[in-house]
Amino acid sequence: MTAKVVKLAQPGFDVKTAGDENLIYNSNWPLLKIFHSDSYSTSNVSSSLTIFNHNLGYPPMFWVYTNEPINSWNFSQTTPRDTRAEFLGISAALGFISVDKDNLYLVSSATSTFNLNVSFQYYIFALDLSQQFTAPIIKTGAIGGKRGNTVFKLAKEGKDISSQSLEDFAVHSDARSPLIHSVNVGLINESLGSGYAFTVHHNLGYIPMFFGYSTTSAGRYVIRAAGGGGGTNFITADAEKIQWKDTIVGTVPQTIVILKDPFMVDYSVRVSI
Amino acid sequence: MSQVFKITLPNNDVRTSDLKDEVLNSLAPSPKINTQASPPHVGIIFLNWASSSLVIPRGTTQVLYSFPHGYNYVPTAIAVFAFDNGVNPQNGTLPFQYGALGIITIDTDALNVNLKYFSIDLGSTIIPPFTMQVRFYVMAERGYI
Repeated sequence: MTAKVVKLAQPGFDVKTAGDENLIYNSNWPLLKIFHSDSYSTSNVSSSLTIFNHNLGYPPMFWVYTNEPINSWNFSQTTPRDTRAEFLGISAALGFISVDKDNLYLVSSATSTFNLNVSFQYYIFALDLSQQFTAPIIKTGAIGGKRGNTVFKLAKEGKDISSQSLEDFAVHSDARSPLIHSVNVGLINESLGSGYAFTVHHNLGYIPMFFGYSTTSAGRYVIRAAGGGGGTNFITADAEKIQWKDTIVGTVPQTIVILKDPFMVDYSVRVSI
Repeated sequence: MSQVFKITLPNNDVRTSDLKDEVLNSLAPSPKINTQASPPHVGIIFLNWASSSLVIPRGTTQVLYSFPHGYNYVPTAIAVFAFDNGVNPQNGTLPFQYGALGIITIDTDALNVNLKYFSIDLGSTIIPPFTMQVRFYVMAERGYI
């Protein structure tokens, strides 16, 4: 018997021929689903804090948007908040915001250089960072056509289906939502001769979008921030694989969450300095 | 009573499933990227940092690219990148710290989405040339409340 599949294509794509990355959803893999979102702000991080008890029983994928002024990057902000949202920001990039199977934490730094002003918006998703998952690859690389006028939408509880605001919907076919291709858990322990790697063969045929999460010695998960131009811990990606590399062998698990969403898209701009 | 629309992953019963085993659930919204927006909310910025003489003083912000998002609040954005300085190419998620010189980051404010360079340089260091492809998503979810 053929397995039954529920799927919805993005406008302009035929659901029978659309590539996996061109779907609004497919019942073979999950959308990124928001379990909980809230904001937090303080002008005095004097101790380690539990920000939210999610109680999911597994370490969930999470995102952080800092509202701190951009000069927090050189520890010189004097206020916790600015009217802006930056993915990670210095507090998350330095690993001060973390999750485990029970809570979201803000950990104060032991160093005197860390600014005590912290403000952020956080999103906790219903996706287990400790559980391996790989979606099938059914078809990729379809080419879209003309958009129709039909719209599929699911309003959030308490919101009107006729709302013109995208944020009032759980799913809306005029919008795409991140599609989970895989969750990969492993150690950076594959010898490369001049270092070590954690290699994930995604085999999508294109470079996908992805997110890295590191496990701390305390068993918490932090979002991996990128540094380069000579760093020793970095990630490379191509159309077949993603490699998380380091000069020393890893002893704690890392997680790479790969989206179906491709890196390349047809709209681009060029900026020269 | 709340009405829920949900679809589960294979081999899960929709009546008893855990949220993490569901494809979608109307009580758990997904981040939404408007595919009808203009300028587009999905795209790539090809950054060519060709200058071999530029010094940016510590604390200075240089807006590399900016465009209006069209929301009447501060939305959210994410960006992944492919960086290449000819020596140490790598991929990841912005923000990206370029050595001890600066931070390349994407943020949103009440009007715009901005790709920025912020200097953390303690000296007067010339920024070595590099290229970076930045793939961005602008999402309807709020980043500042």
